[in-house]
Parts: sequence; structure tokens; C-alpha cells
Amino acid sequence: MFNKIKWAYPALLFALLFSVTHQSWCQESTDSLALAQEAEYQDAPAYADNEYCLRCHSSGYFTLSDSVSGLSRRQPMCDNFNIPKDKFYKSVHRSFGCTDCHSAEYKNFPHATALRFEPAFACIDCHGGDENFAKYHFEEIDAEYTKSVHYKLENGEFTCWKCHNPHSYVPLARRDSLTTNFVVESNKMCLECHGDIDKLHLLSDRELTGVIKKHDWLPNQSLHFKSVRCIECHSAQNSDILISHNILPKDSAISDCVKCHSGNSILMGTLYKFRTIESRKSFGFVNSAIIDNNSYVIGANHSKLMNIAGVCIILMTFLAIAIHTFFRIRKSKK
Amino acid sequence: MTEQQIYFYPVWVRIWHVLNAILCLLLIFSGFSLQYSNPDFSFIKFRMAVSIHNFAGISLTFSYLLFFLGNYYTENGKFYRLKLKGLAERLYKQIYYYAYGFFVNEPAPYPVSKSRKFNPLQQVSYLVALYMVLPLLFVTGWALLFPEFILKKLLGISGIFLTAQLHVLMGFLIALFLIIHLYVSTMGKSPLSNFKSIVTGWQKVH
Repeated sequence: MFNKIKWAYPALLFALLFSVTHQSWCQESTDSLALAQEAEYQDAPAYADNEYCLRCHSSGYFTLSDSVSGLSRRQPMCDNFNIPKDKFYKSVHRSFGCTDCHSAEYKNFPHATALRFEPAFACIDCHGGDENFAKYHFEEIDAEYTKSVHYKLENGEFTCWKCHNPHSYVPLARRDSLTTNFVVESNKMCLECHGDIDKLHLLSDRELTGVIKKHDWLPNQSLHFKSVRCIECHSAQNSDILISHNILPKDSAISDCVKCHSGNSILMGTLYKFRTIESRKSFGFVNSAIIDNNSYVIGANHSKLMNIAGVCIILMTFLAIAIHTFFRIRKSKK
Repeated sequence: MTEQQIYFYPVWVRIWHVLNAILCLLLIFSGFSLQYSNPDFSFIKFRMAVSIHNFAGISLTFSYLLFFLGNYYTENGKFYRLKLKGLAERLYKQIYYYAYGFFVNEPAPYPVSKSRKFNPLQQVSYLVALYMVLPLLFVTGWALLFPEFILKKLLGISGIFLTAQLHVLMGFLIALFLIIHLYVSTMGKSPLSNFKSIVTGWQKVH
């Protein structure tokens, strides 16, 4: 017993020392990382000009002063107007100055109310008709978008920026590896409004429909949400553009499992597996295998090639038998 | 030439054979119906075809065990032992007989005797059908009933899809075997004599 206590003191001391050293090392490394990042941002062409705006718009607060009383007070910056520097300087628009897109009058503070009504640029305004951006098919995207339910329902109030934040936009779909993160980021665009009543009400008076409840028919719901983009089922696919922008009305959304889980696809296999196991769990092996195996419905073995080959083989066999029978009959008559 | 009778088909073989025939026919008809069904037309109602196919497939597995153990423990197994030496020549002779010799009244090259129940062509086709194709059908069929054990992907293709394709291919081969088997059975002493033999157990030989 005594021996155990004797060893406990040095161990405790070591743990304490390690904890203090580790904390200070972590603090130092965080600081140096922030400095390194800041140095990286300074390479941006409009860094110095942007600092004037970003000192408020990236800090989470701004200082409001009253010229009559001479008092100053810090106020929280609304999230919608907060532009984290790390996101802006990693976005596709990192080389831009704030006043390239926004009025130079924003340099005056407090900002005039009329400025809030300045028309925002749409993607097509800068990228349309430009050979440098031809590969992104902005014109086709714009044409698809004007067909979409967003454009029609919101009477033109809906803009590109409702889904694509110009201050942080990165083209995830054009990166080399499409990971689950890509799906999550893509769905985040939809859920920012369709999962947040406050944001939805900025555009519409409609109530939230409850994404999870609306999709309760979907097997393995959480897995689908993690692995499938909302637009896979809720938009009309157009092979000319990478990402469909024609968002369909809810009644036209795909709810037929076979659309994805069919033919020679891994998805077909996973649905077959899912339905077989679920059926076995619900009805037991004998009942699910013999009486009610719905898994077949998706056409696990449907292959046109096999269908044709099967018929051909059987017909050729019958033909050979018919010829053989013909000669047998002829022989018996001789 | 005296006519002799050999007791080729003991009771267990006849029971297995009739079970095998019924179950295989059920599987082939329901299998065809499933393979070629579409929402507008199905030979057998889809749900019904699924139930028949699964019931007959599971039953056939157990019936196959009877055949396998029977062949292992009784004399019947010796008819399936294939001698590889000179096999190609024996197969050629038998094919030549079916294709030509039979029509010009040549004697059968490998007539049925107490020690030879099958001619070389029958022996090879039964071995392939019963010891290769059927086991593959069972493995793939049971795998489709327990798809969680199937490889997710093989050479970039869905494992379930490949298993299903192999199952269908083997199914076609068995259907083919059955058609030829039935036809060749009509080539006995009379068109019905072989069918009578599998019922009574006795086969007439010269």
C-alpha cells in the first residue's frame, strides 16, 4: 500500500507538468498557425482594401459610435453579414476586393439603408459569354435554373447567392475526389433554408415541411442523407452540365428506388441486400424466402444479353431436336 | 437375341428422380417466368413465381443431398466414375452414333450392360449437370437468399449482380440438360421404354 502511494506523487507531478507544458505549446502553435494564415491572405491583391471592411465583417462584432453623446458600444455582427477570412481567401473569389461587387459607398459607416437594395450580381452577369468560363456552361446553368421551381415560386427574388455564397464558394464537384463530405456540403445548401425556418422566411411565408418526416418512406434514411445529394432526386438531370440546376416541384421528385438501384449497379445490390435482410427480420426466413420475397421485384438478374442468349440457346436446342426427330421418322418409314 | 432385364433403378433412385424432375420443372418454369416477366405480362404471377422458385429451390437442395449421399454409400455411385483415358475417342464415337450411326442401323458403341448404365456422353453430361452445374446453382441461389454474405464488388461489378447472372446461366444450362435428357430418353427400345424403366426400376437390354 505504502509503495503505491510513494509512486503516486512523482506520477502526479509529471502529469501536472505535462499538462501545463502541453497547454502552452498548443496555444503557441494555434497562434503561429493564425499568423501563418494571415500572411497567406496578405498575398491576395485586395487584402489591404478588404481589411477595412473585414475588421468588422469577419470579427463577429462591430463598434457603433454616437457622434452626439460621443459614446461607443460593441454590437454583435449578424451571421448573414459575417465573412470568415479563412473561407473568403480560400474561395474562388479570393482575389476580389469588396467594392468590386459592392458599392464604394459602403466605405461610409453606418451604411445607408438604400445600399441594402443595390442589385446583387448573378453568376451569369460576370461569367456569361466569357470563353474563359465556357467549360462551366454558365449559360446552360442559367437556362436550367430559370426552369426550376425556385425561380418560379420566388418570382425572381431567388438568386444564385441563396445557395452559393459568393464569399466562400469553392467548386466541390470539380475536385478530384468526391467524398461523403461533398454530399454533406451539397445538402447543406438545401438545408440552410429547408431546415431553418428563419432563413426560409427571408424568402417565403411557407412553413417548414420537416425534411426527416417527409422522407420517412425512405429505407435507411440516415445513410441516404449521408450518401445521396438532395438534387439527385429533386432535380431534372441534364447531361450537358455537371450539376443539375433545374430543381423540380416536390411532386416530381424521384421516389422510385429502381431508378438508382437497378441494372448492373452497386446500388442495385445494396437495395436487394437491404430488402432481403429486412424481409427476413420481419417475417422470418421461411416466410420471407418462400412467401414474400420482394427483393426480386427490382430485377436482380435482369440482363438483356442474358435474356436473348437464353432464348437463342433453347431455340437452337429445339431446332437440333426437330432435325434429329425428322431423320428418325424418315428412318422408321423406310 | 435374348432380351434381358437389369434392375438399374432402386427405390431411392426412383424417389429422388421423380422429386428432382418435379422440382426442376417447377424451377425452370418459374425461373423463366421471373427472368422474362415485365409489368405488362408474366407467364406465372410474379409473387407466385417467386414463392414457387424459392420453395422448389430450397427443396431441391435437400433432395440433392439424398442423391449425393445415396451415390456415396451405394453401388449407384460407380456409374458416375469417369475414366479420363481415351475419353475424347469414346465421346466422338457416341456423338457419331447419335448423329449418323443410329440412322444407318449401326450397333450402339456403348450399349447398356450391368456394368455400364450410361454411355460416355451421358456420363459426362450427368457429371457436369449433377456435380458442377447443380452445386453452383445451389451456392448462388442460397447466396441470393442471404445476400449479406456476397462480395459487395468484384472487378468493379456488383457482387449480387454477378451472382444473379451466374445463377441464371446455370439455370439455362440445367434447362438445356433437361430438354436433351428427355429427348435422348425417347431413343430407347421404343420411345416410351426408358420412361417405363424409371417407373418400374427395370431396364430391358439386348
